[in-house]
Amino acid sequence: MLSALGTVLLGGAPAHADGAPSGTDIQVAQTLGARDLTVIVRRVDTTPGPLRVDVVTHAGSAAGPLTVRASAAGSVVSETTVPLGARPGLYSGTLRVDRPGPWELALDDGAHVGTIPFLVPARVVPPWEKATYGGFVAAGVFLMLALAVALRSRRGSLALLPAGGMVAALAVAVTGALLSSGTPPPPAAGSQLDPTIDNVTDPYANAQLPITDYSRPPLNLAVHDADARAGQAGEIRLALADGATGRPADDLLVHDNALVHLVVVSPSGRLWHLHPVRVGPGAYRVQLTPPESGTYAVSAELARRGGGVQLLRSTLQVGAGKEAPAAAVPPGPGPRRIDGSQVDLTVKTAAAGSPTTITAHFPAADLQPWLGMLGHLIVAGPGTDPAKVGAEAAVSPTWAHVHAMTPVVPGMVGKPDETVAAFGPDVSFTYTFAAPGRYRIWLQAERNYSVMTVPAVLDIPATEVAGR
Amino acid sequence: MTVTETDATPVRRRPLVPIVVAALLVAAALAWLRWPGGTSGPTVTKTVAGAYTVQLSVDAPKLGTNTLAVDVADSGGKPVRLDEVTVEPVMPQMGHALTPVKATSDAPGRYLAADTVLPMSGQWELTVSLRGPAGAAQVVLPLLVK
Repeated sequence: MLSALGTVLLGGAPAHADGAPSGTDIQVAQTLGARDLTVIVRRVDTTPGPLRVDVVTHAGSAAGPLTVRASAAGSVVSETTVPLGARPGLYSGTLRVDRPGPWELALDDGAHVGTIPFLVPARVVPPWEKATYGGFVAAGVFLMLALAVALRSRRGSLALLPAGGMVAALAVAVTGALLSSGTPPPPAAGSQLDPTIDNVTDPYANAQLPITDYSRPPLNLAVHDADARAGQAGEIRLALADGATGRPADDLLVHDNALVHLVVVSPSGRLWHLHPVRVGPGAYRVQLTPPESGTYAVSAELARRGGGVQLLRSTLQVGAGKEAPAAAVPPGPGPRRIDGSQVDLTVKTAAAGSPTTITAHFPAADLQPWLGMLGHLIVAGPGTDPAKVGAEAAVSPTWAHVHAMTPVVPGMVGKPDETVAAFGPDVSFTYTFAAPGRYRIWLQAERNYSVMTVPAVLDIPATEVAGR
Repeated sequence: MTVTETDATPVRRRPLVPIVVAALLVAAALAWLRWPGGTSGPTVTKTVAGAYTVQLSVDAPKLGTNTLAVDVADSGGKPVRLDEVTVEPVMPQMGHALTPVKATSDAPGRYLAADTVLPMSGQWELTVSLRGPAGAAQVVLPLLVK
């Protein structure tokens, strides 16, 4: 199943210039309770009309019902229950939306609730289209009128009047059609402006706004986990506040298939790539059982309305409890076994300042895209202490998130979703390490609906040493 | 458009058909120009916050001093008497927050935040804070200032 995925911004695509129903599928990864879900909100063509919601579950997701609610202006409009099975895969439900504008989708597993803001587009007729169609229709009518007058009137010259009207109408129509390609689109509700029913249904009403830069101030991140203890189930609470006003930031866009990409690194070098659920304006939560005590590195990648991706870094302190540190990772590339799969890591031109290509070879070409990408690579470093990876990563000069793209298939519009297991077996990343030293890297790819995390340690020599 | 004046002339002699055609033409042109018909009343935004249904209406939001009307009702649509209503304007693009304006009661369930200065055109976010018998609630409503 392929999704017509264009600009995946929350309510992203601006009104199509040809007046076609705008909108695309939105894919949002959500770590709801113990489940890792990918929620696909399919595009809506008509209002009132159906809204199809697909939920992709991953290996290890418990079976059970998931209640999905769609609400607008604070009241619930429709509700359905998606029965999630024990087998990982795609589960669907259909909701109903009755008006265009800003909407909210709530996912409720009985214990946790997460909400996803999304946009239901309206059918928009741009002004030039009205001029073009109206002009041609008027020209046709004037032509008939001119013929009728010429045939039936004694004074044939009277026919010149409707004929002149036809020329004028044609001029209007042709001008409208010629200007259409050069007409700038109005500011996009959702990705640029706070969406309202008015600016979704009539975006051209605001086309004259004197705004050129839609970007907003940076955010502040507060990470809170009251009484976090090793081996004990906990909840990380994130508070996002506007860096200029201190108000909660409730304008996150879906960026790389999630509202917030939260990457957490433990003291012994474990990595989690989680997608906290929104519980209120600027408030996000995610469940995590920290397996060891110490300082964890926490980073949040997100995009605000108006554009620009931000990286917010912080730490999380975990108190002593049932300790289960990860096994040490031997430095350098080479084969290793991750979750029952043999993964072979090779590194080309490892030297500071020059592009380094890291390739992971998986057993078969059956990798699935995760978050719209074939693979993810997190890099932190340089660092030295293998028992304080989290604390060092939290302040390391390099904190990178590298993507491996899914190959482009000629003629295919959009990107494949997670149900396509046809990629790999090689996943490669190219990254330029700024400084020599010991780096921690984690490769992530999805196989059999399970996201594998491949940890590795790379020693990057200075350029001169590597000079080959 | 030139619709009305051009087709009016030839219809004098044979009234019925051309007059009907001309009338249809004028009606079609008017319908086309009016469609989908932008209504130019006050800007109204409505949402539900907890126990309250909040409606914000502003007559032609403009640069400078505006009067914001907040109508508060319960879920049944009955006006609610509140202890305090404040409106806090924020311009998210600029990261600019203004001093909250206290709204005064005008009629049952209707509160007016008079003399609210919005010193810049663009999109504003108005946080309406309510305190009343059914508890406190906060709601953020966008407002476009031209």
